Formats: sequence, structure tokens, C-alpha cells
Amino acid sequence: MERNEMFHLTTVDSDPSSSEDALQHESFRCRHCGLPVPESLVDSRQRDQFCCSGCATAFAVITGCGLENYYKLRDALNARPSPARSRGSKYTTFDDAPFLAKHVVTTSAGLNRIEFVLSGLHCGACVWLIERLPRLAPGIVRAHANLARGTAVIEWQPERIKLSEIATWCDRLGYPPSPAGNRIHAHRFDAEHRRQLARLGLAGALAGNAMLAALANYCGVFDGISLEYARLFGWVSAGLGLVAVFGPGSVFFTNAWTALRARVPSMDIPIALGVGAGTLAGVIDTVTGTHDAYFDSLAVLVFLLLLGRYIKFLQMRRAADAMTLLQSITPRTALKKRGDGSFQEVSIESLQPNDIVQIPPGELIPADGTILEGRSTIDRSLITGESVGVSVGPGTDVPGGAINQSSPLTMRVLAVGMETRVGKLMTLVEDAVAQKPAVLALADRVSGWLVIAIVLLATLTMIWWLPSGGSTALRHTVALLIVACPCALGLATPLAFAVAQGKAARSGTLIRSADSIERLSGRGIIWLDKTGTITEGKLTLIQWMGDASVRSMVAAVERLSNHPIGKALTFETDLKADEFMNHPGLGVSAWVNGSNVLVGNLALMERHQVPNDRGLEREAHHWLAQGCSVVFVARDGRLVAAAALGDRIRPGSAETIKRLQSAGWIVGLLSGDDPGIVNRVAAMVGIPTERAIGGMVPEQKLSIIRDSISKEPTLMVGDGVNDSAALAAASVGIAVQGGAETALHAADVYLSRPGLEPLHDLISGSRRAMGVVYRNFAVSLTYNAVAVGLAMAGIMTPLIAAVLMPISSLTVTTLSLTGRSYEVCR
Amino acid sequence: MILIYIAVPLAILLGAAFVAAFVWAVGQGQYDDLDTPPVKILSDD
Repeated sequence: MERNEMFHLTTVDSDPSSSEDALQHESFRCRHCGLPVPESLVDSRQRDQFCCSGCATAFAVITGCGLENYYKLRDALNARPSPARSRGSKYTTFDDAPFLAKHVVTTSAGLNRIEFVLSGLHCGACVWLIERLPRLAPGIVRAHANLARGTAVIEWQPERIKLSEIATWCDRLGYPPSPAGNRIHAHRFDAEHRRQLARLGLAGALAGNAMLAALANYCGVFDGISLEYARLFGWVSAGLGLVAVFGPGSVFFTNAWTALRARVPSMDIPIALGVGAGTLAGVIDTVTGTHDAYFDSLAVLVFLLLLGRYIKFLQMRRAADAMTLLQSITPRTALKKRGDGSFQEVSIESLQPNDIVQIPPGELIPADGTILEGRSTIDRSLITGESVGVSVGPGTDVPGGAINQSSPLTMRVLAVGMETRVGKLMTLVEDAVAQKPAVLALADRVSGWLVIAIVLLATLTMIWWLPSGGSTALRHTVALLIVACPCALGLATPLAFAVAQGKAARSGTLIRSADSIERLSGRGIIWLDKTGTITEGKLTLIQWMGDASVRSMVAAVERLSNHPIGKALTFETDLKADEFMNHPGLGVSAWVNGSNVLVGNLALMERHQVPNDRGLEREAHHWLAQGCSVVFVARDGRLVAAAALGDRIRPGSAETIKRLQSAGWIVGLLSGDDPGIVNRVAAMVGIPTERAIGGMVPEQKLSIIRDSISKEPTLMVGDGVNDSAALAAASVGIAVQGGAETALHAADVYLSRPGLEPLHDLISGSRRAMGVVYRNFAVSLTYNAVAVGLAMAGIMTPLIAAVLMPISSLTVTTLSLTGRSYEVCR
Repeated sequence: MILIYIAVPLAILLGAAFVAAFVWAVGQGQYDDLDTPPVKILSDD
């Protein structure tokens, strides 16, 4: 229904979308993952039904090894269903010496150890299953899964089992493995995490004990305490406070010093100023025994600020982890021709120009090359953004990264690695990342002003109180420096962002850095990619004209074809097609129920001397003008129907764009596809024509983004390699589901739910998250202002500070935790 | 009240012992993964 509105076409006969709904047969659920089984895969002779061959394999392996407990466990945990993602690969490249050298370490016990990213590892039952690996495969000594990271560390005896076999076991269980990438990087993160946690623990203990010691003295103020014990507790408090300041707190001094030398405002400068002045004055007061000191406040300050920093670090680490997991891919392989004419699986890195490689249908083309044999269509949408498949034959040059769609191809490699089109685009992406201007985060901008304000106020206080004596003036100034410390500020921002990022991640949106939230909450321009973002990125049937009864015959024929047009036309039918023939570049033919059925373009019809039909051809012209692909259907030599196929607009795209526009964003369309198609799609989703730009090569996309970023905050939303440079250059680059890995690499945000709706959720969520941050700022600055006022008036005492500061921190913490930001996935 | 000169240092020493234990546990990697162990208690072997 939606599609008709979107394409302004009327269906001639029954609604074609009904066939799609019928594909999901509700009565059969996959025995392995519990998802509905597509009707075409329902096998009535079997007791257990599976939604894909991966699930069938995983089920067979699990039950065959006596691990049925997995299903009980999973049901008990109520885990979200997820189909087995087995690739069915043999992982032979995992045994290559360079691969082993890069990813495998030998432990002291003489075992080999690797960390695998296991795609699909998501619940306790998965962990249980993976940790049973030693029972399945003799030679594996230990398997240890990490649920949060989706990885497993596996140790094995190299003389008993090969890594490729281990990888195959993981794959057959439904978790295709890939090496966990940068081992050293992960190790550094772990070491830093431990250091920060230990520091935080120490700071917490010191703060607690310093407070206890100070409490004794504060109670003494009301109850009367002998001078001797007051001094004792003063010394205890000072000792603990000094350890806190120069132990865990030393990090603020080093950071402030670095910031000063680099001449950038940083929250650490006012902190170091306050803590430094407080410590100095406190030591003097304790030694002379004249006044109470602020050591308890200082220790608590150090602890809370370190807590804020720790939260920020955890969030960064989690985002970085998730990104590496998304990016880690199995080394890709190619089928290379050997001297004796046979083909061998080799890793893509070992390909050289002039090698001959074979590309089976459905596989990625491994490098730039020229076709030697075979005719097929290739999908270049990830590289160029074109939505329509391109026919190729001997002599055609094809880019690496395109997908071979219909039949096997043999090609001669022209360029590999960085010399390919994709390789050059990668260089562009890296340049764009390097040149991205750093935007000063709100907290740092505020702290810049804060430093100036604090120093000014401190000078004023000093001058004001000087007539009452130097020591009085100094005491009030020190009080001001301590209470003006942006304690709540340092805790509030990271906490609010961390909560927001966590909530976003649970609803399937990965935000790499907190700065993105700030930029997403503003206004500006959003450039959307068309293919795969606004549209579904694959061919679907848009309209059918003519005899509806032949549709099931066509479906029976096209079931046997793996051409994208075939996939768009097929649905479950009882009819069986025989003598299927593929006519490359033209179409297909077969016999169904005793009728000869031809499905293909006009040339196929002409070749089989099918008389033409004026009405159908006029309609076909109309469709072609709209940018659709057209296929004709002939039955027993007579033209009976025609179908329009196109890249359908995702339901809800137009509505989401309208909502974004009413939220104050300008929306534009940037596509590598034909300008005609781009304009039409833009008109359908409500983007003005002057901001719908088609026919863009990646370099042009990049220059448009650079141009627009110099005027206003610019978001770029895309999925392909062709968008990557633009994604990297934009204020915030947003990669959408199903994107190429270069796009993930370049993007700041990754939306794991398809379509544009998550984009709207992201933007409105960011606004709410920023709302929480502003509220925190307001509260925290109000407390500081009150405290500063008291200090300037000369009535601030360590006791008042000890009460005010925890209250202000508690308030902002509560506000951060309860503030609404991203809604958790419906 | 002279006892306080013994009690306070003792309390601090006790606290230091717990901090040391915590730092040791962190160093042993006890806090590296807080998500997986809770689901593992469900496995029966």
C-alpha cells in the first residue's frame, strides 16, 4: 500500500505486496533460533523446521554432541532469538603462517591462544555453548567467553588441532569467528582500566576516612572537644587528604600543566588551582594549628572527579570495543587459478596484478580487474551508490568490492590493495578524518570561562578583605578557590553522557564519542544517502500489469535463478519449473505445467519471436522513464504481462524526514545514483529539488560536506564505501545498518536498526541528553555561585563546605541518572 | 581517652589493608569482566 503512494502508481490488479507477507509463515518457528520460517523453506516431511541452513547445521551439531541443554538454558534465560550466522567457510586462511604470527600467542604452558570475535554471541546460553568447545573438539584446552565484548579466548594444543578446525567448529555452532583485531590495543585498554579502578578505590577509601576524621572535629564544634584531640584529628585528616591529593589526585596537576602548556582551556585547570591552594593553606593551618582545614572536602573532591573520569573511560572503552567488533572481519579469500588450471582459496592480500581469479555468484569481487569469461550482473551500490545492477561480460572492467550477482565470472586482476578504487577511497577517508576540525566540547568551553571568573573573584576577595589583615584575606580567598571547584560539573557531564550512551546502545544505536551527542542536539543540515538509507537498497516488485495468473508461474521459474530480479519476483508456490535456462543479459526461461514461460527484457522476447503488445510496451516506457527496471513475461509465445521493479523507498522515510525538518534540520539528498532517479525519490520523501544532488562521485560528496560544514553543523547519513569520506568529514557521520565496513570505520554513530526512524530517535534523544547536561550545569553552577558568595562574604567554613559539596554532587548525580534521554528499544 | 592514639592508627591500618586487598584483586583481573560470570552460574557443570 505504501509503495503505491510513494511511486504514485496504481496497481492494475491485486496488491503485489501480499506475496511478501505470505513469505513469513507464522505457524512454523525455527527449531534452533525460534524465528519464523520462510514458507519456501518449510519442509513438511520434517519434524523440525529451520529458518536457514546455518540454524539447521547448528542444531545438528548441538544435538549431535549432546548439548541440548543449550536450548533449555536459552529458554530459561528468555534470550532474544538470533539465527545462527554460520558462513560454512573452511577458514583455511587461518592456518597461514602470517595470520598465526599476527593473532596467536603461545602461552607458558606451550598452548596456543587466540581471541576470537564471535558474531552472534549474545546471551548466557551462548557463553555456555562456547565454553563446551573443549568437549566437542579434542585438542581445545580452554574456551573462555566474554559476553560484554562478544569475544572468546581459546587455548589449544597446536599438535592436536588446527586453528582452521577450531574456527569451523565455532562457525558450525552458529558463531562465525574473526580475529579480535588489535591485541595490543585491547591489552592497553585493560591495563588502563585496572590502573584507573585501583586509583579510584584508593581515592574512595581516603575520602571516606578523611571525612570520618573531620566529622569528629565538626561534632566537636558543637559538643566541645579538647584542643589536643582536635589537633590529632586535624593531623589525621590532613595526612589522609595529602595522600589523596598527591597520590590519586596528582593526575589533575599533570593534566592541568599539559593543558596550560598547550594553551587549551580544560576542566583540570580550575580543579588544580582549587586543590593546590586548599592543600597549601591547609598544611599551614594544620602546622600552626590556627584554623580548621578543608582536607576532607579536598579528598572527596578528588574521589568524585576521578569517579567522573572513570565513568567517561568506561563509556569510551565500551564504544571503542563495539566499534572494533563491528569492524573485525574474517580475512577475505579469493579463488586464484594455479599453474595446473585448478583454483585455490587464497587470502586477498596475497593476490597480485595479472592473477586469474574466479568469482562465484553471490561473492565479492576481490580486486579491480577485467572480466575474461562469463556474463553476469554486478551490484556496485556499495562503491558507487547506483541502485541498479550492471551487466558485465568479457572485457568489462569491474571494481573490487562489487558483488557478483548471477553467474560465475573469471577475471584478470588489474590492481590490488591500495591501488584499487576502494583502496584510494580509503586514503580519502583517512585524510578526511585527519582534517576534521576539533570542536571544543561544552564542558571545556565552560571551564575556560570558569577559570577566568574564579581568578577574578579570588582577586576581588583578596583586595576586599586585605584591610582586615593579610591572613584573613588569604583564608577567605582559599575558601573561595576550594568551593568554586567545579566538582559537580566534572562529574555531571560524563555521567549524563554515559547514561545517554548506555541507553542508546540498548536501543541499537552506537555512539562512539560523547561529543557527537552535543553536536546532534543542535540544528544544521542532514545529508542523506539514497540507496540503502532512504530506500531499501534492493530490487522489489513495484507494479505488475497483465495476466495475474502467470505470477505464480513466474515465481516458480525465478526461484531457480539467483539474479536480483529473480529474487524480487519469486514467492512460495506449488508449481515446479523444469528445463530452466539462463540467458545471460536477457532473462530466463523454463517449462511450468506444460507451458513455456519466458521472463526477461524486450530483447529476449524478440529473440524468441514473441509478438509485441502495444499496451504493455507503452506502460513499460512509462516505467522506464520513472527509473524502474522492466521485465516482460511470455507464455507459450504470447506476451502476457510486464512487471516494474525498483529500489523501494523504506516505509516511514517520508514521515521521518518531515519530522526532522520540523525539528529544525535542513534535509538534503546526496547520491551517486542517476540524477533523474534521485530527483524523483527526493520529491516522494519531501526533499526540495535544489537539495537533491545525484550523480555524485565520492570526491564530490566529500567536497559538498566540506563546503557545508564550513557554514553549519553537518550530519551525513550513509552506508556505502562511496559515503565513507563524506561520513568522516561531517560533524557527525552516521552509518546505517548493512553498511560497508569502511563506512563503519569512518562514522561516529552506527544505527543497527534499518531505516531512518532510528535517526530521528537519535536526534531527539541527543536533545534530551543535552537537556540533562544543561540542567546539571545550571544546578552545579548555582551551588558554586552560592558557595562563592558565602566565601566572599567571609562566612564560608570547612563545615559548610563539607555539607554543600556532597549535596551538589548528589543532586547532579540523581538528575543524570533519572534524566530521560534515549528511549530503550520498544 | 589515651586509647584513641592506638585506635585511630589501627583503624587506618585496617583500612589500608582493605585498600591493598582491593588493589590486588584489581591487578588479578577480578574486575575485568563483570558481565559473563553472572550468567555462568546457571551452567550445571
